[in-house]
Amino acid sequence: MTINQQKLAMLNITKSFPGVDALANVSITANSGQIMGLVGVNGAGKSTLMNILGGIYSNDSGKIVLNNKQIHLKSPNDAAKNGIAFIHQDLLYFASQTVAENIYMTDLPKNNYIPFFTSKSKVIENAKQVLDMLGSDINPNSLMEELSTGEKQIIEIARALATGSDIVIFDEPTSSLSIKEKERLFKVVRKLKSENKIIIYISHFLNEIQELCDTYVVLRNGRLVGNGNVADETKNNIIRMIIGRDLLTSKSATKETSNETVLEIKNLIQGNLLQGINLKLNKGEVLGLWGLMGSGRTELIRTALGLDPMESGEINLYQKGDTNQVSPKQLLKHCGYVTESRRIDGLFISEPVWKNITSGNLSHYSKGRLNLIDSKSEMQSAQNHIKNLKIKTPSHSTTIENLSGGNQQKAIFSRWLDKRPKILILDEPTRGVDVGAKQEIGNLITKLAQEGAAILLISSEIEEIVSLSNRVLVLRDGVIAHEALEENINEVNLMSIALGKEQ
Amino acid sequence: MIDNIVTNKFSFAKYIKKLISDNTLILPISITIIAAVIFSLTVPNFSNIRNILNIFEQLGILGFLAVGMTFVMIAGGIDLSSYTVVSASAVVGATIMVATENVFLGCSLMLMVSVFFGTINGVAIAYLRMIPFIVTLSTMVLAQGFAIWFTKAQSIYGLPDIFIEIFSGRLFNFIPVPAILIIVVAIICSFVLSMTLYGRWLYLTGENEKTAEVSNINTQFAKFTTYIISGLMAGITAIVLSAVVETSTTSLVRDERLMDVIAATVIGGASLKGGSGSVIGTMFGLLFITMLGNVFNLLGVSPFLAMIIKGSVLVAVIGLDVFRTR
Amino acid sequence: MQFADFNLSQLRNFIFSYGFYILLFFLVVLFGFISNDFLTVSNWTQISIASCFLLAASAGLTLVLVTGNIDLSIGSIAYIAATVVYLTADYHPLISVLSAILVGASFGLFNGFLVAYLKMNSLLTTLGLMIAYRGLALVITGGSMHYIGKPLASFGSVKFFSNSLPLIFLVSFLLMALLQVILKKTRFGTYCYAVGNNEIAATRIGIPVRRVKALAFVISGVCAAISGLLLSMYLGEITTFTGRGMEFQAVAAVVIGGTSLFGGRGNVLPGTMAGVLLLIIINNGLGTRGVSPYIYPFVAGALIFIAIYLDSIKNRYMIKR
Repeated sequence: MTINQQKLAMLNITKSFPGVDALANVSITANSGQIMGLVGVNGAGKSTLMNILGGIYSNDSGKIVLNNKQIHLKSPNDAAKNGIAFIHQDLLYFASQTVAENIYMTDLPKNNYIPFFTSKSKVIENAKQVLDMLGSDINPNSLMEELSTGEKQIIEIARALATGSDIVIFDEPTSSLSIKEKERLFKVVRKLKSENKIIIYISHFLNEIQELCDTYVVLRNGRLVGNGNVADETKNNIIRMIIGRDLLTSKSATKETSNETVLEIKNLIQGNLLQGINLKLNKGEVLGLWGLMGSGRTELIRTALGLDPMESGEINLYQKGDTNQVSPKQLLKHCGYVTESRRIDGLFISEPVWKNITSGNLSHYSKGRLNLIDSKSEMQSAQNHIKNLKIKTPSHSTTIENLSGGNQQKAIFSRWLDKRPKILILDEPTRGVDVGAKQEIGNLITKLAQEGAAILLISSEIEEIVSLSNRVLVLRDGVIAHEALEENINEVNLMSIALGKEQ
Repeated sequence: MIDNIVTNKFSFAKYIKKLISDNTLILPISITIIAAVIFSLTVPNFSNIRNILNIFEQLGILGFLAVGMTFVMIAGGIDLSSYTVVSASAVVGATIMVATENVFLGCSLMLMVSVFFGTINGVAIAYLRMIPFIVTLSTMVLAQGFAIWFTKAQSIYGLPDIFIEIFSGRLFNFIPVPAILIIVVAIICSFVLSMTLYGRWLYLTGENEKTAEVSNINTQFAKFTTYIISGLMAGITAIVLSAVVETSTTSLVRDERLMDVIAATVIGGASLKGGSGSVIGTMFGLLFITMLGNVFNLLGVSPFLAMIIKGSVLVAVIGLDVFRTR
Repeated sequence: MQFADFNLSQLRNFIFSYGFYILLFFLVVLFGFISNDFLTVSNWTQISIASCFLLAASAGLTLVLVTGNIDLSIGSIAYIAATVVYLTADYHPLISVLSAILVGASFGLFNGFLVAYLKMNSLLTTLGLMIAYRGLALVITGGSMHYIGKPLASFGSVKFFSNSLPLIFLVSFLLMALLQVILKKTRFGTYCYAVGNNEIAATRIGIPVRRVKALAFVISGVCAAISGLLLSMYLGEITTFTGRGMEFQAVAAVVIGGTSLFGGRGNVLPGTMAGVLLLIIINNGLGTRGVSPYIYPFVAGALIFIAIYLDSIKNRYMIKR
């Protein structure tokens, strides 16, 4: 009955990506039998820090010390060898195989009688043991694909236990869980704590941090801005640490917006996530759509634009005094849509900048009955956009892959501006973009609204929402839970609303 | 009307300019020229006029399939069935042509049957979202089986003389008609792909289907049409090939030709991932492969050895593609 | 009261898992009904002979498919193996058998190297190799027919239980059983499923993915070689038709038998065996009824189309959950 006391220290960790300083001199320590909550807004550096611990990234400087011995984590395998298990948001599992196999995949027990054979009975037995230890009643014989997300998560935790991991990292584990599954997860995490594991728990949900964690660490802009015992700190103070004591973001949003509604969505229902969304978008305004990760903001957009099937709902477009109900695919024609992950569906990565810019408005450049494309005017348009938006590129024919994130994003903006749409939908428009470009894009958004565009802005960066929006809708539990106007838009408010406590 | 002509003339000049500045053409054109030079210096009878015309006639036979494959691959798919669809279309059309002596009817049927198979592919892949490799693999088997069933494994002879003369004859007693046809078709298709809105749709759909969707391009329609075109090309091949060999059989195009066609498109710049490729590039690629086969013939290389080399060339070419897109 | 429990998704699951075997059963009953000769012992001996070559090759192919790849060179490897049997005709039959297997393994290894280590696309690569390997065999045989050694050929016609159970069928059945055991009971087999299910996860947790994929190809090569061996034993000779077109039949059989083209799912017994049997029985059944033999490839093509359509529906359905 020896108690295994371990101590993990990440000291002076610095990491930068091209154009972005992700972590600057961050130091944390964690002990056995403790749950550490790691908090901060998106982009604050929590995932980066944990990815370093998980061996997915390598730190530029600083060191990682486990039990007074320095360790080097060059790959996920190294991390596993050092007893570090990382439970990601996207679960890693093998769908058509059993729970037991998934748990023991890296350590399949051998059959004592026949060489090369695995012992099915032993696997199940061992799996039962681990599951019992976690207090779970999942049947080891079930197939993974039959399990709910919450149960799959428990199996991944079981795998961590089974492979003897002493350090378990959780990355936003509750975003797709039901209340009951959340409770089950907490029970399991506490079990891990009683087994003297070191647990690091990343989450947006401060009430979870308060309920579950012993210590907390707050990161902001890649720096450590606060840490201590959860019991010694109030939630509001933690919020302020997350957001920054140095006051609330100055707003650059315009004061005057019209009340002329351009788009109305009624009662949009889709899957389990969207339970009846109602919203109105007005001309000349920036409407911020705020909510926690996993609340369904991107899904809402994709469904409204016909990129994912819609179960039910009504979309109305107001044009020149006429109201027309349109189908989602038709709405797409009237909108510009800057997507959340440009690498996946925003860029034609191997094509030159100019082709990327004109791809949203090709019919404009095609003439005649044969629809011949006038590439010369395409390139000219592209050059104009490059000039207007100050896109840094050697030439308009440079392959867009070679541009920095910020400039790629600007090019994508130009694509939609070229179309001059009345409605512009922006999903995380400054993600992976350096500070300078962030500012420029922010100004661009404000300018476009002033010129009369109706803009729907989704962002996980609370400062961005606060700074740019005239109105903010908060998406929670599948509906628009709250509407904040002008004066009430500030970080503290929005955070609380998203977490479920209106003020 | 005059506007149209002026615009078209102007566009043609732009088209030529565009071809010259396309640098994916460097590889196919250069290896073809280098090979041609080497072969004419080292292989007896290679630069004989008769042999060269022979090569171009071969080009005229496989060329249509290669053009069709180019369209399909640009949009991100692949069509393994086109070469057996040739047989399936040929036997149907030929049977009717022999029975009714109606050349027009026979040819139309060939085209209709091939487009029918193309439609099966197109619907399954573009609208039902099935995997192109496997769908066209089974259409290939289906078409072959259909051809055998339809003819009870007999070849069809006695095609009308007019038919044979038109499609396999020589213009001015010199230039083989198939060669002329393929050049015309190739130029038209190349023009469509590089200069029209539709062509742009295909490239963008193949490059990144999701982004193309967001850009409001009807990607399903784009992919669907490429299979129709591939089918149509198979039909044209059926017509030309039946005329050239003066018979319609159940294996007009041998399995190895499929490799030639795929290799030609990849040498010409196409990638299995989609988003690149060109008809001109493919044609040069095909020229290279055809010259290779021709040289094997001239040198008396065993057809079996030729198979080994051709198969290895395809594998090497795929390796090249992987390397290129890394 | 019981009907209330019986919901649509249960029905769907049932059809996906068992529908095919029910179809097979009905088919046997149907043919037995409409033709007198179908349910005779001699007919079934015929069926077992006709199917054993495909059974052997499909067993290995199943493994490759489970890992998420495909091997279209198996017909040509069968021909090469048969050629090796012919080349060793003057030696002890055991030498022929072992060399054939060794050759199959080597070619399989080459396939595996290209696909797993050089990351080449398995479909097109094995398609090209199919041609190259066949060409190689043709160069060696000169494109003509050759006899194999008499001792070995005599084994090809051995039948047990008063002329009803052919040895070659027994061999292929044992091979299938062996492969099923490998798939379900060894660590390697579990890894195969894992790689086919989620290659990224497999790499992440430390499974030697490339080795697993390559080994699958080696096994596929060996199975293809055994198929060629059995064929040459049965015929007593090798011809240019040896193994021709077998790859497509094998793919059809394996997919119809329930192995998914997307990887991660499937089994050899009873799945692939049932798939092979379905194809052979349809051919045989139509034959005993005197139906034109040319219908068969047509029917096979249509069947595989349906099978892959169902497979893609199943796949989308699984993803949605």
